[in-house]
Amino acid sequence: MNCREAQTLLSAHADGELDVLRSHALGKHLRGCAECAAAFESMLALRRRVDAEVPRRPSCRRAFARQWAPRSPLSPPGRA
Amino acid sequence: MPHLDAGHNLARWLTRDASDAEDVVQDACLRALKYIDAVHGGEARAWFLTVVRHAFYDWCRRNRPAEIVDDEGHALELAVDEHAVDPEQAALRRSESRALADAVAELPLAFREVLILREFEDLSYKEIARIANIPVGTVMSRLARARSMLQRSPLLAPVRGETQGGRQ
Repeated sequence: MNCREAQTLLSAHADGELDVLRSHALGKHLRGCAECAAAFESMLALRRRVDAEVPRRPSCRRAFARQWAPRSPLSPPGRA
Repeated sequence: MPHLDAGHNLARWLTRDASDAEDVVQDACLRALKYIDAVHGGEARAWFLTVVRHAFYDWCRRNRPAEIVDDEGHALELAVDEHAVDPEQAALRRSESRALADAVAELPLAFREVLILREFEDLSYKEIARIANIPVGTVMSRLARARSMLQRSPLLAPVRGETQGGRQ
């Protein structure tokens, strides 16, 4: 495996989505190539940052609950 | 509605607007309710996200047709246009985390959606392929390019300690 091929597989390797053969070949390449190994570490760091720092968007559940709540005149406000 | 939070998260990142996201999710819920009895167990989340995605693209065709870019190469050029933002100006008003979130939001739609499905919903490439109706190989290449774009994003340049026009 050369560096060009390795670079295209780093993202999938970080996700654990490569098949056994390609994962093995890429692992072997990374052990012998400092540049690709650094790129892989950088990829892992980016994934960690996205996971830790990028916010999940707040839920719209409350707004939907208000909008879609049953409006029967028999149900007094504040009771289920 | 099960998986409402996941659906809203996807819609929020796709539309990049809270009000538009609610419109999309509301439409998706109406669509989903018609067929919800036919969906079982573990498939439900991926199925609902598919419905949300379809609702988004219908909404997008009506409201932002220019955003649907089929040509990935063109989308990539847009994404790495270093003149699109002023990194130094951006540095003044963004924290590192905010800059990263903004960089994700600035990704072209085709790349943003696979990244959100992977990073936030923790879906497998196979599940993402089914939701986005693309081959698994395309999921793999789009994710790789999405991450590459993030790493090179001009929005993150101040965070990396770079100045406009080169490294320090």
